[in-house]
Amino acid sequence: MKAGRVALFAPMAMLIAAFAVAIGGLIWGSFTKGGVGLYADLLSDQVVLRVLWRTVWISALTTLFCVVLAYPLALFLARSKHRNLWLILVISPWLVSIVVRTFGWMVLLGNRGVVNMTLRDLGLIDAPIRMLFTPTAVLIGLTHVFLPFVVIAILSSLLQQDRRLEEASRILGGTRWQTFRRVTLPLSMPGVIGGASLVLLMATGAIVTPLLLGGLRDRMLGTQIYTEIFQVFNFERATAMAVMLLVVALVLVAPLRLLEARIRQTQEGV
Amino acid sequence: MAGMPSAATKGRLRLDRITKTFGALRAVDGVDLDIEAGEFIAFLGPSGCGKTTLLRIIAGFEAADSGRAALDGRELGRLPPNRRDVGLVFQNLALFPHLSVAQNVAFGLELRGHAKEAIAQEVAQALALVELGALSGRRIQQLSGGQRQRVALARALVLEPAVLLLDEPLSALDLKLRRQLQQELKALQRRTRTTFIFVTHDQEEALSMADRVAVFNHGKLEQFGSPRDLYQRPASRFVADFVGEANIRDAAQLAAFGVRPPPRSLLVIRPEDCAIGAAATSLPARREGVIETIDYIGPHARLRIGLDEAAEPWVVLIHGGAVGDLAPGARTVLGFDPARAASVPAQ
Repeated sequence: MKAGRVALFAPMAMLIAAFAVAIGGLIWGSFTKGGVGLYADLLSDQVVLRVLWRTVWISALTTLFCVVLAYPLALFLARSKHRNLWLILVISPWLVSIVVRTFGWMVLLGNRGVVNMTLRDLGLIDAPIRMLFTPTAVLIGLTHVFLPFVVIAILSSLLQQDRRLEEASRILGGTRWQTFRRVTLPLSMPGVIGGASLVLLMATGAIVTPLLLGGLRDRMLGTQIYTEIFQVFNFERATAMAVMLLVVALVLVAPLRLLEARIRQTQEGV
Repeated sequence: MAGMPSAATKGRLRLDRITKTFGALRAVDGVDLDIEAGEFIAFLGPSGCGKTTLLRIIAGFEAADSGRAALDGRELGRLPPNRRDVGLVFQNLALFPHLSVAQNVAFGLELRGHAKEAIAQEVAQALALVELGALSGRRIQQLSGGQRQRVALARALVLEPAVLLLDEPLSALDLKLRRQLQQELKALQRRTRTTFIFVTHDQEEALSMADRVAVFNHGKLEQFGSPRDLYQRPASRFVADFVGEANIRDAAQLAAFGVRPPPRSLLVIRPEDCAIGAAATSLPARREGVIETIDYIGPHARLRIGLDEAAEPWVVLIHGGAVGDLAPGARTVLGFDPARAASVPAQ
């Protein structure tokens, strides 16, 4: 019995220990090796501040687009008789490496890419529109990569809902839209918030997509850290930025978690 | 209306040859029903007999394949549920978990765009009607089963629907609470004068509550009548068997009693119309048999009496005090009066 319990907790303890050591070491290292001056340098560096701001707004917009696009899709899936078939289509991008998927967007968005060539052939533009290596491209790429996560989070929340609640709203006089607004949507908010938190966290730390689609000018924090390590070899600066990333992610996600706790409290009456 | 100020003015429901199939299954099969305003109706039948499907057709959640339904002369046709003036209390109640008691009751009123003050007043009245006034601010999760029941009723009744449908709303409650709520429901129906249609598979519940009971089997309406009609004059073997207990016997089984049922008919002899021992000697139809079992229930005792090995034993209900020293294995005389027996078609 006791041995069994130890065996159960061992993997979790290892994860926690490794995590604590890694993160703790990271924070400790950034202060001891670089000192507070390192952070002061970073926070007064215009480039870093711009990267920071870009990370925040691109992550926030990605999350917004993901939720707005994922909700109707999840609703459709929840109501569909062939749900599993559609679901396979939604998650099939996960079978392809993220690098390959991002290259796909480069092919589409490049100056001589599919979109520009088509527009030119149609006579709509003379010179190519610059899309690749812009924040717009990063936004499109990130939304595409993270969309399935939100679909699944919202879908699971919708599937847990008692369909009788919607019927109750209908028989009490609610139109379809009123029923959605007053019953379906509020009861699916835990799924929306869960999906949004996930995307927000993943987007702030994204590396591959901003690197490939944002290019060298429009960096995000993840890519900036990547550059510091692999091109500048400035580990202290990279570490300090990683701590910044951690703080940014927490600050962004905290209000969502609070909101979720509030909703849970009202819905479960705990 | 001058002479009948309290008569129900709305809630007359006519169903005309309603049919609904799911694949090969005829869930509802040509049902005709004419329900008067202010009646308390029970839909009774075993699970899968089509009673809930019919309810959902009336509510507008299912579309009938054929047939017509009209409420107070208005064709229901393909009207969506929100435009039918019909209320529904769900089997699982379907109270909104994200809203308080008062918000649940106010839901329909808000959708209708009533003024805020009017809503507050109507909600208070509805909650008072079901004796829940003190709990209006509670969350649904903080209520007991019986209290939730009442919220669901208040939520439906506050809209004053022409017809209130109730889909086995008491089935999840324990017996004592169930009996209490049955009484309350009946009183509530009388007070509000709303047409109630109560779906149940419990024949006792149906008989004790309803003015008229519709008995369903395999999607067909077997009989529609008062509880007494159903019990004393069953229209079919199914009704005789499903409503109350019955000894149902054919001509061959009755020959030994010297009783001949009408042609192609079965006799339905209720257990309480049978007698044994000395009490049986005055009855016109008698035979000797063996007591197989005695279930003593208090006010009465239920006996199974075998006439011969092969045949189905007779069920007899006698006064509890009359059990005396009767014991299984003892021989006795079984008697009944064929004049008190109902007859139903043999098939």
